[in-house]
Amino acid sequence: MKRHPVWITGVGAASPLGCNVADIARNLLAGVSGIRKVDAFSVADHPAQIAGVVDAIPCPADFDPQFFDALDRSERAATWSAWSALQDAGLNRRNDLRIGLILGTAAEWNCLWENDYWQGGRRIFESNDQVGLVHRVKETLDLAGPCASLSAACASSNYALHLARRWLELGWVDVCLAGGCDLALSPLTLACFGNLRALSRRNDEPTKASRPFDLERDGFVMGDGCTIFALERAEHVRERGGKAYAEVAGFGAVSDAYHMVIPSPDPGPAIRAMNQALTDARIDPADVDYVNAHATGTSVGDSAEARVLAAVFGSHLEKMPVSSTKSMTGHLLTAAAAFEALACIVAMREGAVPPTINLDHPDPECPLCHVPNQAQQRRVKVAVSNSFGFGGSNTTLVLRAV
Amino acid sequence: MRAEASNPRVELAVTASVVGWGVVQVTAEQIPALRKAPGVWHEKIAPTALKQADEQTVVAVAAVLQAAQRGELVDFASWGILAAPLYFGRSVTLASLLAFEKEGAWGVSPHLIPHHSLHAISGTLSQLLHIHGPNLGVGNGPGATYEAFLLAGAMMSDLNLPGLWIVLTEHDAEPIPGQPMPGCLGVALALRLQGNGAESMQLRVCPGEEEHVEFLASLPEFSLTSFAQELERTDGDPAGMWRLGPRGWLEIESGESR
Repeated sequence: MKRHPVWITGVGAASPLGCNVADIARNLLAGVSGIRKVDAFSVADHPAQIAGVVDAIPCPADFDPQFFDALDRSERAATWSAWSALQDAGLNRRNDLRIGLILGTAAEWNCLWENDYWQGGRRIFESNDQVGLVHRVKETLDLAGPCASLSAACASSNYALHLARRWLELGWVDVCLAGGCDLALSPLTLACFGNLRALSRRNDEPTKASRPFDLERDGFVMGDGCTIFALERAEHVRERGGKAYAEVAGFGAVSDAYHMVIPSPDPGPAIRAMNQALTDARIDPADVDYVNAHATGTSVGDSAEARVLAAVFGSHLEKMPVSSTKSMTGHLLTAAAAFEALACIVAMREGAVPPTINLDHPDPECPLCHVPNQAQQRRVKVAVSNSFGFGGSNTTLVLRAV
Repeated sequence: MRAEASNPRVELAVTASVVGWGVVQVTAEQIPALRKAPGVWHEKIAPTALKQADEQTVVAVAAVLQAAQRGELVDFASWGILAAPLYFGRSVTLASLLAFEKEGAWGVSPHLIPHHSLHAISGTLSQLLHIHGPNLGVGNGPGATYEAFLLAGAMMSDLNLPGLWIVLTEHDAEPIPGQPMPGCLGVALALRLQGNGAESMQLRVCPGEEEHVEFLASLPEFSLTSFAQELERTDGDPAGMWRLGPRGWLEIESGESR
């Protein structure tokens, strides 16, 4: 199969840092935290009571607000983000194109059943249910291409971007929307992650709670979010005179095959995933300008990733900035990788690397070229984003400026 | 029916060799035993390995082990895994809701997300059978098989992947409280993506095009039950063609007939 460069030509998002690219870029580079006490439901007996929260999701300009408000929250976030990405790319209402959709969404049905149950509904008891989120968004936006949802837990949306690239290369679609949508913040999920002892319990200081690479980190902070990109083959973009943000240049995925929750003590699989992605992109490690780390703020995960980065980048790691934007957003789970790809694009466009906030005392087990608390001016032509997930998934995405 | 004869856009199709397959259909009463002993593997599988696993994960593991045995597959450590369940995690989500109502946040099992959300089948297979390739779950609602085969098509075209497991599962009926617990069906396909496999059964996937509508109307809609029956037929090699979603199609044909 011939490889064709695939470009990102549009972006849409609903995140704890805003619901448009300008706001998100500004907040990312200003080191703003989107984390606060959860007030959508009672968290009185939850061990962790804070999260990255999405405020009101805007209604697309050409939609009936009543129709939009009647959609469930995930559908509003995905519809807004997909519509915004198409609008940004100049492709809205292009029924003549086969526009596909691939979304990372892990707990779609669990959350649908739960939310319905709390509202007195009976969906969880009923044998027939509605079609999935991607099918509903496809219908709402009248997309003519195929659609699919997938989950590799917190690595999901890196897979979505990669598989969208494949669909484009296969000629299965003219344009592919791809990203992640995870509005899983609910009484059950917050309780489950809390009972796993994975979450920060710094409930009295929400904006200080997400502390990747910091000695005082005590777990991750959940976050809601959705980020969707429009992807096209480069020649398609050139033919229509469109703009591009970046090339989806490389992808790597290797599974730990070790444990459903705990990362493997062997850094080998994650190292191989990173090397696969760099090879796929035909990029030498020394040419990487920025790494958006997976770093969630857990003691085991952050230091393990630091060892992986050291093995892949060697001495280049001393001067190549590494940051974790989860310090500002919390962990967006299946939508995390897509948002972090957006953070990489912001770094490319703005010539500045977003910081890791709350990085007051860097853990000596994580000896990286940190970007503590304040953005740094840097020229970024090649950015790498790591996303690892439950089920032992290790994925790396390489983005190259166009 | 050969795709080339009927379909003007067959160049969009992706083909791979099916080098093993497994079909596991069990009643609810058989699941506890299968959970402890899902099948034969060259390593001992601990009876507790699937203790926290969902019923659909249990039949998925059993189907993969059966396919590996049928295909005499011993090394698939670098293969990918794509698992498409249907309404995965419903019964445990309900149990968690009831526990939450009774006991509050502390009553919720920490296994709910790791073992009962969409990544869990592929993740469990990866862990249990030491498979280091990409692993992901697909779909989980109506149309899950359509989504699974279209993403499988993308993975089948990956030049770096030596093989791919496609695993499809569903309950016979949805497990609804107050009703008898249904059985479970699992189908596993082992696809070799590299090397010579022309003598094997072939699987072909195509997303379809607008002009396929008439052609597709003549095909039966894909169902996991009919697909499993075709794989299990005893009067000849499996062969068939099914409509996938609004425009796609899936075909299997035996190696000898090609």
